[in-house]
Amino acid sequence: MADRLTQLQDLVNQQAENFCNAIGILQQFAPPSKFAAFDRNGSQTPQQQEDFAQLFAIQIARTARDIDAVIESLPNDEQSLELQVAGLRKLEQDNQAAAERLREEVRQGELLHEQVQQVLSDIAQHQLNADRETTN
Amino acid sequence: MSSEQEQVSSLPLPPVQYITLFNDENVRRNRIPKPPPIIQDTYSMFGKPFNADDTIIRPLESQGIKRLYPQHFDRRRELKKLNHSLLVNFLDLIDLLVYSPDSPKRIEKVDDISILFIHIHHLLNEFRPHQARETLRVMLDLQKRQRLETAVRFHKHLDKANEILQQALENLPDSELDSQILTSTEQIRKEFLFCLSKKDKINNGNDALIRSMNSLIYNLFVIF
Repeated sequence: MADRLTQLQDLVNQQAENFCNAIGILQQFAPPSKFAAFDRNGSQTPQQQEDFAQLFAIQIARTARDIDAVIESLPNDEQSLELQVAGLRKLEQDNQAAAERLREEVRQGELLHEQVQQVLSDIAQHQLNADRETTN
Repeated sequence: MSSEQEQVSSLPLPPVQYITLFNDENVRRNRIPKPPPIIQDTYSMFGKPFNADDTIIRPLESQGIKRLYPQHFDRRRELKKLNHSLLVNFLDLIDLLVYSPDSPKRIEKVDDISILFIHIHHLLNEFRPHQARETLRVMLDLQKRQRLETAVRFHKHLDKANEILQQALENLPDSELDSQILTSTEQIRKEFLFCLSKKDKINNGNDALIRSMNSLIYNLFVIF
C-alpha cells in the first residue's frame, strides 16, 4: 500500500469525484417531481430505481471518515527543521565512523590473507625442492 | 508523421524564416542567431506563471490564493477542520442547487469548495519534505547498523582464522635436526614467526617434519 500521504491525496481526490458524481447522477436520473395542485393523469409511477441519493451519501460519508482516520494517523512530529537537520548530520558522522571501522577490519583480513598465501606458496616451493633433492 | 496519400500535412510547417538564417555562408561568417538566453525569473507557459527557481519547494499560499489558516497552526487539526468544512460546503451547495440553482451564490460556493481542496493539497505537499528527511534518516540508520554488523562478523571470522593458525603451529611437533631440511624449514618457520610473531619453538625434523608440514598445509587449506 502506498504511503499515508499518497493515500490521503488519493482519498481527497476521490472525495472530489464523489461530490461531482453525486450531483451529476442525481440531476440526471431524478424522477420528475409533482406540482402542488396539478394532478397529471396517467402519470406513471417511477420504476424502482436504486436510491442513488443514499448510495452517494454513504459513499461521501465513508470517504470523509477515512480521510479523518488517515489524518489522525499522521505523525505530529513538530520537531523543527533544525533538529531534523542536526540529527541527520550526526547520523552521517556515525555512518562514516562505522565505514572507517569496517574498512580497517577488511584491511586486516586482507593482510592476513596475503601473508598466509605467501607462506603457502613458500611451503609448496620448499616441498618441491625437497622432493627433487630426494629423488636426485 | 503525415501519410503519403494526403496532400495536407497534420504537422505545422518548419519555420522557414529561421532556417534560411542558418545557411552555410552565415555559419562561416559566424552571423547565425545565438541561442535564446537562459530564463532567470518567472515565465508563463500556456497562460499560467511558472517559477524558474524551483528551490521553492513550498511556496507561500499567499502567492496565489488567500489563506484560510493562521501563521502558526497544528497540521492535523487544520486538516480535519478543512475536511469538515468541505462536507458543510457541499451540503450548502446542494441546498443552493435545490432551491435557487441559478443564483450567483452557486458559483461562489463552487469556488469556496475549490479553495478548500487547494488548501488540503497544499498542506499535504508541505508534509513531503519532512517525509523525505525522515526516509533519509531511516536509510542512514539502516546503513550504519549494517556496517557495524558486518564489521563485527568479519572480526569474529578473523579471530577464528587466527585461532586455527595458532593450533596448526602448535601441532607441529619437535624433532631432531637435519641440516638440509633445517634450512628450508627454518625459512618457513622464520617466515611464520615473522608473519604471526607468536611462537618461540624452532621447528626441525625429517619426515616427521614433512608430515607435520603436510598437516599444516591441510589446516591452512581448511581456512582458505
